[in-house]
Amino acid sequence: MNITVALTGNPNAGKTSLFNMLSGSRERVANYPGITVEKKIGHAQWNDNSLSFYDLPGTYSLSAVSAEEMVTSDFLTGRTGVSADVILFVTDSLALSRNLYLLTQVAESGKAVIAVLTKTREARANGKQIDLQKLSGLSGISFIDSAGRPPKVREQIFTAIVNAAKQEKKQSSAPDFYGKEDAAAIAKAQDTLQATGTTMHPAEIFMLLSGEPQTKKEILELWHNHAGLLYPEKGEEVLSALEKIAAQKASQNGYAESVRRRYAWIDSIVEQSVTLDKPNKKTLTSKMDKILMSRILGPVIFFGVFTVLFEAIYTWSTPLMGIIESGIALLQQGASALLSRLPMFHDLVVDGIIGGAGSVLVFLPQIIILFAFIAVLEESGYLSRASYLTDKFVSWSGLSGKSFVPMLSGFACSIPGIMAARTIPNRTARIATILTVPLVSCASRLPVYMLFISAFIQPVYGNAAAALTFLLMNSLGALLTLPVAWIIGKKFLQPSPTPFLLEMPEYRIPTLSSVYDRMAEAGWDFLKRAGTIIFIFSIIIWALSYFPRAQNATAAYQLEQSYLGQAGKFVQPLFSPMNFDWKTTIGIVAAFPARELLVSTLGILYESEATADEFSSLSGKLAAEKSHSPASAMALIVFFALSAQCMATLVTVRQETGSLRYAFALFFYMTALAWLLSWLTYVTLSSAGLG
Amino acid sequence: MQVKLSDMKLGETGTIRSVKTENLHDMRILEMGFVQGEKITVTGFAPLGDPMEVRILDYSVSLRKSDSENILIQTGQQA
Repeated sequence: MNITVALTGNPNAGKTSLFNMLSGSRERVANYPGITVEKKIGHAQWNDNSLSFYDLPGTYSLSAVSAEEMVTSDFLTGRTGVSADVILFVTDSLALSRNLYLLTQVAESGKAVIAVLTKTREARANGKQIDLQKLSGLSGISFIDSAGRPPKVREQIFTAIVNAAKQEKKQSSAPDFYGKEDAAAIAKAQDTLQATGTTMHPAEIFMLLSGEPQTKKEILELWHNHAGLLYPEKGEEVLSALEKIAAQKASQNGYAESVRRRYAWIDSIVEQSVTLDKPNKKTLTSKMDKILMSRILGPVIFFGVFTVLFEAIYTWSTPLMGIIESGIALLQQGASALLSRLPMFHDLVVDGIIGGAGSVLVFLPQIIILFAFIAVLEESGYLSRASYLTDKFVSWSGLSGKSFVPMLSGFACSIPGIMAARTIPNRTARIATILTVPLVSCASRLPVYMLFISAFIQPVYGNAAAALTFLLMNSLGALLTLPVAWIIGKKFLQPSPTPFLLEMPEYRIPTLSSVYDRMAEAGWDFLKRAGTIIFIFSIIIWALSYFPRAQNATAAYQLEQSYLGQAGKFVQPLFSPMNFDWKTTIGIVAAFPARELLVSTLGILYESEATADEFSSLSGKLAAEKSHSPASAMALIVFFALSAQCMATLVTVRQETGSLRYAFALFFYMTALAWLLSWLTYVTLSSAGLG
Repeated sequence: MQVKLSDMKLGETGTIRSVKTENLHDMRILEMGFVQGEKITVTGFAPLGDPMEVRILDYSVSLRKSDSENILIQTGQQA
């Protein structure tokens, strides 16, 4: 027998570790259209049954407030086509009542439900005893404790699933929380929906029936996109059915009353099945928070934790990146020796393929280290506290404290920063974070700053001015993130109704396997990207600099007359207000895949010696040839500080938002902003006599 | 006495009287346990005084002033 099991529950309930424990083999299914939730499916064999587990995104209610949350209601109602035979409800015993709220909704779906209690050991340590039999008896749903030896727990859960799947469909065990009249109205609305071929959960219908005008409007807006995605053929029909339901007169009891009834029912069950040893006992978490969240020590510890995190992605990754770089160099040498008789093929493989993909691969250590930290911070419960401490500083911009880690990571590299935005549940805040993290000055900007500062600033104005310029360029982008996020959120994004309510979970020790999973997942995502889209782009960019071929030309002349060089000369007039010559603009175009390519491109164009001392020889050459005035050099640094010269960033934005639109938006707004501030810098400094 | 949640002091306890229910955002707050009749305790404030942390049902959650202003609490003896 094939049994489909849906795993669902609140966020932080321990769903993922249960999923990992239950499923032997796992697969990841492509993104849902329009959103970035990835469906994970696990498989297990039990006696003669094959079980498939669907890991659904955690949510607090089946009345979705975002497209991401809609995934769970879609699956539980069967709107996605796949229908669950059994629902495995993951229940956090530390926040039992709030978890049971979602369970009262899940029980209404008419499917067989089995509940699994997690974190029962921690609950006991807090003096909280849960009587499983009473809880099961009173709620009408059988509860299983997940604590214990994994094989035994697995056996218990599998047996319960198989038994539940074999049973005849039974009536919903949950009491009626709506009242007679409203229940009838819900049933009638359900008929209307089913006539169009869709279905909704009773709670979803009731919110649409009984909500205030603004609530109804927001639900319809949510469905506006969603109906089209679910039902490409008859989305309009479904929408008009929804509008008809929303247009009905207000109900007897409101939605708020149904929520109150659910909690009243929960309170009565919890009261009878849960005993507290010492009702006012201080838990370990509250003792730890006394220190970690105290007004003085709290921020100090906070800075300590994030200094270590920043050091880790910035400094600890260096030796690992060095290993990857030398591995790539070895590979290039090997390929170079093998292909020496085929000059074009040689250049394609050595420079285009290995060089291009290699320049992106070096970011892998930073991503893996960052995600190890995020996993530890998130699982331990500290990430929520960090968001809480920083929230007020960023909330004016429409972001929340949850954007702090992505922004900080951006100083090392935008790519892990953008990926770290996965921890932000509010979609508007998440997109605004993804679109502003690339402004933060990442490590690849440093070579550009250093080249131009050492060529034009340091020799003339001294070390202090050089250091000041360096510091200024490193902070410029970060200072712009919040104002830009504010504009993006206000002007261009739909406000998301997901409130910034932040659960403060009890502290716990992260498990090794879950930290490993997070690292592996982020690492694989990145490698897949480097292996596909970035790989193809690398070849295209290489070809543009390789063709057309010039006979017996120097490397500088070959580049100058290539398609890439022609493109650089073509855009030169756009940059003439800042007095950039064609060599510089070829550099700007060539640096599209990665900004540090400006240095090597100028190296070729200025025919500086390709020795170990390339850098200082190039800066010497630039200074000697007076290629830029101080004003023009500063303008160029500002341009590179803010422009979106990074192919891997754009590809990551496309992947993480699920939409090409945001990648384009990022490229155009950053380039425009970079140009504008670059021009302002030039005009200001020239009028100060530095032109 | 009836006060806004945002005006409560550290350590104060009360019973929820009413919550705003105008839009989806409000509804979610309600569904997370901020319902009439539940007990609520203020357990902390962030360094700048906002957001605040409260204990409700059996869990801790932080919420911003813009939300806590819309929650009315019954404090004192009558609670």
